[in-house]
Amino acid sequence: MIDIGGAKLKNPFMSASGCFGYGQEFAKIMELNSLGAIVVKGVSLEPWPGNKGVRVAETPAGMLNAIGLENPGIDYFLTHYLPWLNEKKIPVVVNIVGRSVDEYALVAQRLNETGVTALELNISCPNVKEGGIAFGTSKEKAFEVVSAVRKETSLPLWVKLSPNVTDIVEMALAVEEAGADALTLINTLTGMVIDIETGKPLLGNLTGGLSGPAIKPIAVRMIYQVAQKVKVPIVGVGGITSLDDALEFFMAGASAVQVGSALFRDPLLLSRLPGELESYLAKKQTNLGAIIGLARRNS
Amino acid sequence: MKDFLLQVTSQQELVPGVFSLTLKGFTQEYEPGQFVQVEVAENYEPFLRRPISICDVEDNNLQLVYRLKGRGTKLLAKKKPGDKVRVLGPIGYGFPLKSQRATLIGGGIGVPPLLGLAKKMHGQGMEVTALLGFKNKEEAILLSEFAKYADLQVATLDGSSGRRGLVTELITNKDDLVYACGPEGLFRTLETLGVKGYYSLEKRMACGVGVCLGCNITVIKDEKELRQRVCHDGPVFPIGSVKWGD
Ligand SMILES: Cc1cc2nc3c(=O)[nH]c(=O)nc-3n(C[C@H](O)[C@H](O)[C@H](O)COP(=O)(O)OP(=O)(O)OC[C@H]3O[C@@H](n4cnc5c(N)ncnc54)[C@H](O)[C@@H]3O)c2cc1C
Ligand SMILES: Cc1cc2nc3c(=O)[nH]c(=O)nc-3n(C[C@H](O)[C@H](O)[C@H](O)COP(=O)(O)O)c2cc1C
Ligand code: FES
Repeated sequence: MIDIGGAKLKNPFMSASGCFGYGQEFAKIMELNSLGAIVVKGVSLEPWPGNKGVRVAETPAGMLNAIGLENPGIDYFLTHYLPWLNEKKIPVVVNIVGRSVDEYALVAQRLNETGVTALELNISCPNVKEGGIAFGTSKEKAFEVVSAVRKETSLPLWVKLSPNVTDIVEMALAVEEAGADALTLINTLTGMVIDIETGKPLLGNLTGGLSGPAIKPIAVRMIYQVAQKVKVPIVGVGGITSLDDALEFFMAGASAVQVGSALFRDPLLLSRLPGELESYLAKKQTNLGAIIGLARRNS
Repeated sequence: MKDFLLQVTSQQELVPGVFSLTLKGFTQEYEPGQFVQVEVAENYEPFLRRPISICDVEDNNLQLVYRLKGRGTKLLAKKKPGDKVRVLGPIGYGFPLKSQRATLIGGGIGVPPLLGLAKKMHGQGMEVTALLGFKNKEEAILLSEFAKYADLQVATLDGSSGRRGLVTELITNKDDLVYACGPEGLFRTLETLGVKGYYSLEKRMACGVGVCLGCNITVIKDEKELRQRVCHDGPVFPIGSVKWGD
């Protein structure tokens, strides 16, 4: 068992929020029980309609998304998706989004005693004009929202950081101090694609979040920097497409990893990774604990 | 739905820029109108799979007909017999069969998925009319195949084949259930004409399986607005149900 800030997972591989829905679609092609946990799409207090226009664009070694956190709201999640997930006995991590401190806190409150395994606060989504951005890029705002949610919940509280900042360590320390039990690094980086035929930005929202292999070195670097400074465990995410990629994250200091947009291309990737890690550890005659943070100890 | 590694058995350029690719080993049942997500390169560049409609399946041979557009379709066109291609599918909901007579209306590269549909309808003893529209004679595809299963009529914009004009001008019987695939303009014309039936939509996709919400649209069902995913809840929707502009 792996312990991520009080959440017990049978292996260190999870889906990344927004890339696995609420599990029902992937259940048709894989055994969801092969995952350490499912991290569901960001849930808000009320339903959010998301952005208009083109929402996804392919980019070199990755993609931009400007979904705008479309989701049916916490009530619908609790009545339509969670019972099904609970029945499957898979650890569920609920990604929470909000436009105000109160909204975050209210969603967290609604998740008490529902059987979910952990909360993951998305303070970093770069897409929503009104929300996200301010929390994830200001250490005072981040501290405030994490403290408020901390008061509402005794569940393991993970905070997902935005990479769109100058000093990631400063943000990590602020949310750790506010009571985070673990940190998830990283969310998407803000980018833009211009359609040269129309001469306009391609995405309806103009900008979108960059994910995929293109952001992997940035994620690895940020995890490496933060892991030296915080005591809480780190969940790594950003561009993982293979076990080799995941190993880089572990060696940088992540205790577990999430896989996101690589699933759009290789939907069965997450079902293979746990077995591949076991084979790797057996072959190298080592264990996961010995690998986590190895690159820091070696440098 | 399954992730298949299929072997190319043929790759043929039907008309300049439009290819027909046949892949062996597609062992799943499918409904005409469903599509597959095709991996065009083994490494992660380009990153996403490409959605392509199923044109036909015969003896587990999957036929895809696609037009060269950008990087992905150009790479797909380079595949040779013996090469392996990863294909996820079949995806989505196809065209529901509900009557004894039907009119299929295809425009341009929207024509291919209607071939499997014509074949299925013909197999069930339905009376099928196929109205196919193209820019010109040089772009007209699959005509002899459609002629096997349907009463075929063609329109071209320049009159170089069949009647000159829009494919919708070929409609004579507005009471038939219509099954359409093509550009948005065609669908809007069908709505204006007030015909009943189904159209198959195209929208940019990332996952293609319903998890990313990249392809969401608003659909009106029982007078209520619903958010639906073109990949997972479509790509086929009742004519008149889509709220355009999302
Ligand atoms: C459900 C569905 C069925 C389709 N069936 C067919 C078919 O049978 N035959 C055919 O020729 N084409 C079909 N298309 C369109 C086909 O997916 C695009 O032409 C193709 O993805 C273009 O890829 P590219 O790399 O060549 O072009 P690029 O323009 O370089 O592609 C860049 C990105 O935009 C996306 N994209 C570009 N154009 C479209 C489009 N029209 N629709 C959706 N995504 C697009 C690509 O998938 C890729 O992610 C279908 C699309 C959908 C959604
Ligand atoms: C389509 C899409 C939707 C996403 N939605 C969310 C979300 O709701 N909440 C969140 O915290 N992150 C969201 N993300 C970010 C991912 O969880 C992940 O942090 C990011 O994509 C980097 O990982 P990857 O390169 O493996 O995709 C989304 C990403 C994508 C591509
Ligand atoms: S393309 Fe991802 S939900 Fe349709």
